[in-house]
Amino acid sequence: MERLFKFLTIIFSLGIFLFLAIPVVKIITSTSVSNLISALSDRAILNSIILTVEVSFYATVIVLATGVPLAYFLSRHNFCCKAIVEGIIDIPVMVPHVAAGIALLMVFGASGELGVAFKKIGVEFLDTKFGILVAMMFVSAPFLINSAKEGFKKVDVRLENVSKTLGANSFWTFVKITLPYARKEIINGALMMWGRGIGEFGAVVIIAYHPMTAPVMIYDRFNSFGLSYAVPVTVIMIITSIVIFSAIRIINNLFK
Amino acid sequence: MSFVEIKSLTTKVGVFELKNLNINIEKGEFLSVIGRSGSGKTVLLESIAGFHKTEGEIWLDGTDIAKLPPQKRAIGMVYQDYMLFENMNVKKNILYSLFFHKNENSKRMFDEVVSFLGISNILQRSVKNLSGGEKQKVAVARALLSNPKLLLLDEPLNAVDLTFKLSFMEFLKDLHKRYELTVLYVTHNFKEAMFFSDRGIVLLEGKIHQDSPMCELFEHPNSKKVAEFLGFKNILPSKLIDLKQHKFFSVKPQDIAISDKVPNKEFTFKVELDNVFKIQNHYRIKVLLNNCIVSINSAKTDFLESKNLYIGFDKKDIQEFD
Repeated sequence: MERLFKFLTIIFSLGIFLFLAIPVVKIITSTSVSNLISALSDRAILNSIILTVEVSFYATVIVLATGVPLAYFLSRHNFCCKAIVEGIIDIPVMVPHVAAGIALLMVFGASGELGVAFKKIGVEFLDTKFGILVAMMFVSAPFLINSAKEGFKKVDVRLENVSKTLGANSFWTFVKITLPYARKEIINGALMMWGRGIGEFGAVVIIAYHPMTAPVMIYDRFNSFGLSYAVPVTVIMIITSIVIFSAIRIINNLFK
Repeated sequence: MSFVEIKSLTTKVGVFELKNLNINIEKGEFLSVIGRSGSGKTVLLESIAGFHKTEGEIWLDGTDIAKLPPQKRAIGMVYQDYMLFENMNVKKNILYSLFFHKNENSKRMFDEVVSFLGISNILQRSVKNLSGGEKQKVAVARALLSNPKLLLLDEPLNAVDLTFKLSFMEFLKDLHKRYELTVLYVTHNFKEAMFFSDRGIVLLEGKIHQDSPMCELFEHPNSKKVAEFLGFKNILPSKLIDLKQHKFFSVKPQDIAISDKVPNKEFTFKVELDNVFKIQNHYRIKVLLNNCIVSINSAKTDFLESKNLYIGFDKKDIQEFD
């Protein structure tokens, strides 16, 4: 029984791990180095990757500033419609992202309420960086908010209490005690959100086909020119993501 | 007016309620609040410190602080599980309050407190790997550096190793004298309360049941509930002995005589044996008296075989309450 359990654990673990790893390895090894270099010298590809990483980063920064306070509020207060608020935050995770894109289009499009309002200050969303930004923010914010909320829930309220008796007001208590204690979950959430934003296709493609983000470009090349043209972009995209996220994880662990 | 005057303090936390508490503390007093876990001791401290919404007044050194935020109350709080900030080392924990209000004495105060607590060798260490006693000292030092007018201690001895408990108790007592602190100490352990305080308050189910000098608390508990909480044995209805002034009385197991003949005592009863067990050098005999169990300490058990069993005690050995 003991040995059977061990055996099954290993077999199942290996199965799911290979399922996740093989496609990535396969696509990275399926293209030649010269192909990759020529793809890298294609300005269109490079620009789309930079655009994707950059806009998703801005989306993450905006949600760090707005979603972290929301997460803190939700972790510390109970109110009548809290479940509804939490449900609304989770909606983007559950609906098809194309549907999310269409919902965003109705609000931020040329005739949408916020679209009209923002147009007055010169901000338009259809086929712009701002469109990409709201699409990425909408679909990936829950990852950051929920992770930060879990982080804050783990912080003992009594630590905050003691900090206050020692003279710290709520703001300083949050900065000096609560945030450092929840830091790991917040950074993990931000990484998840950034990564989700970079990979987002459905919502982005509805609101902004151009300028092309990497996922849209992969789709565009696959549709217009076939598999062999889509692979180099995909490989560069995957490698970029792996490098960025490994680097941040390592840095985060250094400062534990 | 007392240094601390708490008037009609009421706090609701979930379903639990502290009801209409009135407490006075003199400057420099070490007052103990004794109660079981769940009786509201911690909620009381947290209410005074300002962590809960309360009704009533809390006067500290001439100011009503009941509506002030915790950081403006000049109250220090030490929780039983320390609540040290793990993102800082020992020294930074202790100096935390100085970031918010520095005074010119703070450096001297720091050196003085650190040397008094004997923790100068651990200042650079992480707070995660300290012993329970060390952690509690750091928590106390941190609270002291903020110069509180009132120090609240929430069962600080609970997490200290048994071997160091007594020395930590001595240490707290010295600390109280040395810094002329006004302390409100809560505990479930009345021996600790006896050690520290001249006056004690019994808090049960969110209400103050008795507030009196420590010796009086043990001589004259004012109710059956307090007597039970303080560990009084043989709490019996007064009608058994025809004393009508109070509802109940108690008599210690060692003050009851037991024999197969009627003992030469003021009150005597015929009883039935319930059970017997040995405790160290004597026997604890339990007998049934009108459906009440009475415990008696006895050196001998040879008379238990007799069919007739009697107990007796004198009036001077009983304590009465309602």
